[in-house]
Amino acid sequence: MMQLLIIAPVILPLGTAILAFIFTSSLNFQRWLSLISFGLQLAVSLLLFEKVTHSGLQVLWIGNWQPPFGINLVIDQFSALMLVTSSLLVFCISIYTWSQGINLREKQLRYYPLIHLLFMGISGSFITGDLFNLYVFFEIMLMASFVLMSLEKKRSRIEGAIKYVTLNLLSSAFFLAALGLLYGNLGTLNIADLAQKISLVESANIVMPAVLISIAFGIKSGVFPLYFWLPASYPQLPSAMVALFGGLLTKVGVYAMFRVWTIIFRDLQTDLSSWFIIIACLTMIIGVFGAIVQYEIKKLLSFHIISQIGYMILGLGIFSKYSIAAAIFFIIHNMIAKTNLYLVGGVFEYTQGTTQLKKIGGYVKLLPFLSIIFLISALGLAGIPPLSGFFAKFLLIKEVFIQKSYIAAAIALGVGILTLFSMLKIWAEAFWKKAPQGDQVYSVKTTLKLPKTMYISMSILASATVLMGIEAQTIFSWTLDAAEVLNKPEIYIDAVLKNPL
Amino acid sequence: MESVIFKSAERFLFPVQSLMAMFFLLRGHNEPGGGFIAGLIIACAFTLKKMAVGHEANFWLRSFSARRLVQLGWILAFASGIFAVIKSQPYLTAIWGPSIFIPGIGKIKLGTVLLFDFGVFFLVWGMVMGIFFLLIED
Repeated sequence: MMQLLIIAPVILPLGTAILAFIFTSSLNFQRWLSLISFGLQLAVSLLLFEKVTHSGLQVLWIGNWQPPFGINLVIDQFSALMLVTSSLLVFCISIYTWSQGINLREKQLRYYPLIHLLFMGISGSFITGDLFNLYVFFEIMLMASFVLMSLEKKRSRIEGAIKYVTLNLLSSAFFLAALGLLYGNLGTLNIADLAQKISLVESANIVMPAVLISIAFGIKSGVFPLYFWLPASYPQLPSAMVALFGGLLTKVGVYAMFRVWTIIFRDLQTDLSSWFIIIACLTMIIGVFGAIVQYEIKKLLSFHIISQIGYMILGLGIFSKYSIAAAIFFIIHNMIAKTNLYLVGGVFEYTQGTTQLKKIGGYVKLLPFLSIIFLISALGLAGIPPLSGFFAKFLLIKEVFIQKSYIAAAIALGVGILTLFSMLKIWAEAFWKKAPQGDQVYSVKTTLKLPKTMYISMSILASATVLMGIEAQTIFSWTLDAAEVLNKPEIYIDAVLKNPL
Repeated sequence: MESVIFKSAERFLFPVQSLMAMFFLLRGHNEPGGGFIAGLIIACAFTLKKMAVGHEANFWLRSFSARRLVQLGWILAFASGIFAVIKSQPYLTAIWGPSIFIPGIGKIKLGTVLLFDFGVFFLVWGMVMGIFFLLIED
């Protein structure tokens, strides 16, 4: 039974995708199917998390092939946490898109199989213990998201999708080249096996694949010199979809970066850590400055994704147990808060048909409850106590200070203030100011009603942000456990390679 | 395409290609061949057929819907892993049955691997045929 549970995060979405692909005639069936499937996924992730917390790493060799030759799935605390967070997000998004509100072209019915395949790629990347398999899951994710992007044949959308797929294929090429070099040098692609054997080779042979792989993951996650595709493609999508992409896809890149740099390329890390810190700082600054000038919510939030990726990379660059734990805390907090902000942006799209801040307004009177949800998420993202973002930033910046990177700490603090500034800009423009009158193309409504499902999903995510702030102690202890494994790769190696079948 | 030579050649090619596909499909696993190659060959056979006769003329050509083939292949490949789960082994563990002898090909070991190969065969067949048919119609 345990064996089925470990692989469930991959085969559950796969099976659902097949079912959704066969029974395409009924929209209602598809909705219920994905709701149930994502609900099950959440339950499975929680079970796995519980299991990992109590009895250590879970390893499965698919098809019973002997280690290290077979393909394995490894679930440690880090991947379990990511699984739980991502399945919570897709569950909420599937509730959010229940009503026809979002312009998703649900009726095309191609949306559902693809969304499950996309999620299979995401959760597969989180649990795989093999670099080549990681590549395969990345490709599944890329192809599914590309087709999802181009479902609606609008000029701007196709343009964004092509930019997205081109740069991400480039990233795949880099990744594949790195895998070739690694395999040529070490004869294995199993993460644990690589970590064990990497010290046998001269480090000059490892630098090239390490750099290539970082470029690949850097493109995926959108770090400083490689982020251009992100603000070019994400804002073209409908809000619910961009919530899914922005909340999850870039974080998969960050996850992979953490995984390879902590477990495989550990020894190189110490030489390169100043580079990581420089890149992280530049990513933070460029992202937040990009966001400040934007007056379109989805563009603004897309630049904020980049800026927040910087914080995560900063945690990796400092490279102590506490900084990694803080960065993992940050990833979880950011996934939830950012997704919820996109969902709020989706409400503007649904009610007024636009996300231009200049053209909307007066939402504090129109939808008071929505403004509370927005405030929680926005202040959480900016890092106002007692919400989750405060603890994430506090833990991270404290550790940066302890490790004596004062400039990086100052930049992180400054970027936090600028984040608050652009969140307040949304607040002032969309909620606080009166709805623009006069010769507007968009009719200004005086009363609005939102479907209940939208409220439910956004409330779940907003309360998750609040809970993460209240229960910061517990969650930080979990992320510390996760960082423990990343900090001591021996635990990971032993669990994978000395696991009796 | 109106060409008598092409049409008559195709009439002989089609059965040969289909047999080739079956041969490669069953021969696979330990020797060169397998579901992917077989799927490509049979998709080529059907594409040639369609180019030669046009689909209006041929009733049974239309009964092979690309979409259905992909679905069938997907189900078979997915199901081939489930058998191992029932026997409480990790997903996708190969489970072997008895061997049978097929003249002209040789001994074939029945098992979930063969089922997986069939799944890949149908999936590739449907996928490639679907793409080709779309291109021809344009």
